[in-house]
Amino acid sequence: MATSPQQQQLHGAFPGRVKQIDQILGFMGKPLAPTPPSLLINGNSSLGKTAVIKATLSAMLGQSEPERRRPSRYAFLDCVECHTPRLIFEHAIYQLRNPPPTQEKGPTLSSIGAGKKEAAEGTLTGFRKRKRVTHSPLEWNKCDNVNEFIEWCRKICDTQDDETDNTSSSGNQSSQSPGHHHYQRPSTSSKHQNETRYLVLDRAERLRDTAPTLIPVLMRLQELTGRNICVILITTIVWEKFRSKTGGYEPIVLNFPQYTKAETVAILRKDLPEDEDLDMFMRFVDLVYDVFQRNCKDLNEIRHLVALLFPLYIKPVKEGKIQKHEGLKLHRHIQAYFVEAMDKLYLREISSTEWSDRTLSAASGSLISSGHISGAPGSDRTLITALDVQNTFDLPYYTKFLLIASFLASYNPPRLDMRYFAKVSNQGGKMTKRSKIAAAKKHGHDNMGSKLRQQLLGPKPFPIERMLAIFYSILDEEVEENVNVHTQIASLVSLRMLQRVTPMDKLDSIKCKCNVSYETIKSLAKSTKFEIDKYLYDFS
Amino acid sequence: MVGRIEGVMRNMNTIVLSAIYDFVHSAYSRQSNKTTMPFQELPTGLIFAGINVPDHDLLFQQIAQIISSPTPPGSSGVDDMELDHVTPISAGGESHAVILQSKDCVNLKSAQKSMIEQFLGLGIAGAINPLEGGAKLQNYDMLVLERWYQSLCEHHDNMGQDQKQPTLVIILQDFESFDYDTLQDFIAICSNYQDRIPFVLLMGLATSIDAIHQGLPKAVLSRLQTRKFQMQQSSECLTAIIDDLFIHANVGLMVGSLPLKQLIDQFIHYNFSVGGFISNLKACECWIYIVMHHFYANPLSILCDRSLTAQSKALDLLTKGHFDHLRMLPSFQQYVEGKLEADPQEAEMLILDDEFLVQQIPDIVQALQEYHQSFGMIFDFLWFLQSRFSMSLLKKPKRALYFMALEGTLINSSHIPFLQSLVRKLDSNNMMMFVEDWLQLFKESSLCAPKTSTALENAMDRELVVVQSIRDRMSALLDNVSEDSVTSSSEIEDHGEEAEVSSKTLGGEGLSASTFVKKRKLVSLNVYAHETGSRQTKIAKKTRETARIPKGALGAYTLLVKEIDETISRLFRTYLVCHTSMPLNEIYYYSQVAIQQKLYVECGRMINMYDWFTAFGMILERGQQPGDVEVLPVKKRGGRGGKAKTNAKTNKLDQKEVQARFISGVAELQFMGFIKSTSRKTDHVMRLTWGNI
Repeated sequence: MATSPQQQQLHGAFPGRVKQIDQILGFMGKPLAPTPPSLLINGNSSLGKTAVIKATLSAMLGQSEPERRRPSRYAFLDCVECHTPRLIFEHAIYQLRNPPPTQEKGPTLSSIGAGKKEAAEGTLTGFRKRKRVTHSPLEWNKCDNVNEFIEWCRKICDTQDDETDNTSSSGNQSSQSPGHHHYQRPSTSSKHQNETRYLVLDRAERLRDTAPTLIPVLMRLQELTGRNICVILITTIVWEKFRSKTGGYEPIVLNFPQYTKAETVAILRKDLPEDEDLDMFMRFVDLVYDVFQRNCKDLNEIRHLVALLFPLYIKPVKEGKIQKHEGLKLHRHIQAYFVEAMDKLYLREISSTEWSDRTLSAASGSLISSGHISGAPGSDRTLITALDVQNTFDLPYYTKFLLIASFLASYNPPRLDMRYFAKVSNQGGKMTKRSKIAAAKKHGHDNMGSKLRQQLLGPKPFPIERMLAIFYSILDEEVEENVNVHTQIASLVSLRMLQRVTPMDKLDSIKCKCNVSYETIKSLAKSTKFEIDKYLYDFS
Repeated sequence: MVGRIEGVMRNMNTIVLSAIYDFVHSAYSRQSNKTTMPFQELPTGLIFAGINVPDHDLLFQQIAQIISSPTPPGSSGVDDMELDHVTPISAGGESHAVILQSKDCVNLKSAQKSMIEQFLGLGIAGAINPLEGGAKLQNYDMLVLERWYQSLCEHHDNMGQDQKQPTLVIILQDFESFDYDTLQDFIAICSNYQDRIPFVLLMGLATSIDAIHQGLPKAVLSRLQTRKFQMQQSSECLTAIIDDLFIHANVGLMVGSLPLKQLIDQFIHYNFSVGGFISNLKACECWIYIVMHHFYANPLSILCDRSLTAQSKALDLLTKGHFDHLRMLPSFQQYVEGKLEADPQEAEMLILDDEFLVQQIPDIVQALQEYHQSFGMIFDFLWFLQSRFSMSLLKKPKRALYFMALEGTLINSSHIPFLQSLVRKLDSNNMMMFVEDWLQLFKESSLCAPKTSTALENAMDRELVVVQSIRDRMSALLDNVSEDSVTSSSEIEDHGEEAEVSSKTLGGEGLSASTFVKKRKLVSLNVYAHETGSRQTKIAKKTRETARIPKGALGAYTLLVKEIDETISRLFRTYLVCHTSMPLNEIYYYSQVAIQQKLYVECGRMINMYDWFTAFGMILERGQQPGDVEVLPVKKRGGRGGKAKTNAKTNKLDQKEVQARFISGVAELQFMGFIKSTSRKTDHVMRLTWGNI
């Protein structure tokens, strides 16, 4: 098959994916040709799997016709959205029986090119709207189980296309020779009837949870229906993890490898903002790639960073402070932001809008005040965010102590409770003696086996009663036991600060774990002037 | 009253709410003009609402309501300013909000179902419900929503409205309680559909931003475009409510110190729940109970009427029984005793003659009202005084101050003298500013508004006059001083020429005295800097500065400061005095702790009378503990061996009193329908009310 214009366009739209596109096109063959029963496309996230498939299918199957009134040749399902078998069946049937959604924006291929990487995670974005005008009463077919689905598949493959189809079939479809009847059912005169239908399941790894029995069926769908149907699974995991029982058909596995640096840069080149200098942008992209690639293989993240950091990079140039060619100066200028971006932006501690709002305003201030850029803008911004978070977290007084008590209960061994929490009373002497021995014994033991420190092992479940005892012991004032304490425990559980380990139907002897970090507890203890370190055993 | 509280809370959150409104309405229009992002992110507002989750229902309903309404909340200038940059877009924008709670969303199916049902159930004009059209769609299929949304948009197009699309807002009220796996999928689906349906998410976070980072994986987080909104801290809300309700409100009822303490403690120590505070206030401990207690059990409550005058009808209703009641009030007895020394005859009349008493009542009640008003006023002044000094160390929240005032310990506390000493330490120009502000504060308050007749003049007016006179004298004095200083500074011309010149020009223009003084100080500072050539401490500076002031002026100044000091302390002493010293305060203030009520709330359906009684006794006992420490150990010993007979006697008396109080309390509760006696179990009563009444 010589390279068609569509193929070339696809190649242009997806740098670094030429080989994969050609492979897929090879499997698809001519519209009427039989295809392999199933394909599995795997590869890490944001490697363009979904986008490539989507673009290829829509480019090759009927999108070129100006008026598409005939049913779509492919169904594209997201297994997250279709979380029951029934949803999968019904959506597939619906999509195969109806024309594909049209797009309002110009020629499809160019828009695909522009919005290519958006689709890497399965989202085809760019705010395209599905055609709203074709709003016929919804023809929806109920389909509950696999049998019905297979019936439907046969029916779909056998039904004739609309009569409008005959008039409008002047595109590249017309080049096909009519009358390829591969199957026993005598077909009518429509030449499109035996064209391959494609069923694409994106994020197919979810199928293993939602419908594990469906996978073998889908693998054999061609055989079961006896029609020309190809199932394409797109997933991030390998096929081995799909296998449940022996005897299933194996799909043809097509792997999408990681992008190389050159490919990444070529993709990022498409992100060039309007009326910006390509040279400078490419230099910047190079820089970002070198800085971040060790931490972040995800193309989308790099694009995200590029989009947000580039305005900062070119800012001094626009303001006339630094010349375009002074790469080193620019580099030094952007360095401070890189550090912060690594920290905050990448982790999404602040979102893109907050970032751009803040950097643009803050940076302009710092730029005006001092021509020299240092780490300063970064550092005080960090301070502000830290403050924000701190402010938001406030607990009632006793609740703080409850949380501290549960932290202590989770990390201290129960046998040392006596030593830490027994009130120093008239029996104190005896207590201390015993605890001293215990402590000494403990200490010796520690030096040898401090690998088993609770701090490293994580929180241990504790009975509520023990926690309450600690609670009453660490509180300075006398508190009567009442309902409020228990409601507070419940609300801590609902806020996920305590984690209930006993099942909900077990009402007494509840056990919990403390689900709060040491830092949080430390700040809580500080706010209540409680010296937590005194009470923690073997902690650092 | 509830309306009032809601109003307070809404006011406190107006700015945040309008920010949220802006965010939602500009979420999609903003993106179009922003620089190109690699992929579209789902606009998400994170609302930090504090940890009192039960309160949030009201809050989020408010938010939903505000978002759905076509106009932004509030119409104050601030909002207009904020809206300026979005006005062209927000004009036609319309959004629909639904609230999802974690209890509706145990799995993905039910979450989608709940969302779709709520959207379809909104009853928006022009929207077609695809589920009703005979199509066999499942009610958790996103296609339903998509269809519905399409019909909505078409309707909009047909109506000739602008191209702005309605936004669908999903509010996840209690983020922490959601199942995170469900939420991940839900967000993923929403962002998949984002190209067809413009979604905006609002998440209510009770704890901190960490929750969202813990709960959602990177893949989902990277699809959110978050923006944080901080709701007002609930302790602030509480202060505002107390301020509004008790200090300044015109309701006929006040809460005494003990119930208030209990309410606040409950709030601070346990739940931070404003709702709980209100409902406590309303229901169990104070409001309904007090009101009922007040209006049914206490016949004197008819005197609560604010518009009580001598001609009032209420007075006619008074019977012999009322008078007896009145005379039994401890404060009345105090009042009479006080009278006894000054005017024995009047005191006798008060006790014996009903007619005379009737005439006296309105005056007393009026005095009480006036006291309350001026209390609010002076309390404000105290607050103003405190906020003036930036000593964070000794700052007390308003509610604590109020509580102290109720307890009667405020005037004797070290707090006020401390503040006074701070005032004394002010230097002259600051003092002037302070007095000006003070005057301003008094003038602004409604109490001091110009009265139509002198008859309406109240104590506050008199105070105003005092303050005014202080101000006048002060400014006059400072004018003198500054003139003096001009002359004096001219003597030292050679030391600080330009400063002196500027001070002269200022004096010529007759600008405000305070700036003038500042200049003068500058000059003198220069002088001393030259003379000694060493660093001056502030105090030393001040003493020398005052030394510069002519003797007569200095004397006058110190006198004035002293007067200010005295005025302040007099104000506090007269007006912040504890309410218990006012006659007839029982009418307004309610200060018996409803221990029984508290216990009642914690009880099950059947209440064992004996247990209840024991618990009641225990609490009373504990309440007395700090007061007389000896009683308790003695009691214990008395119980065991009966050692000290005198103590045993007091113990017995105590027991009787406890029993009497308990029985009367039970009778009241029964009377008001909180409990009823039952024959199903001996010695038990049945509880009749549940929940936050």
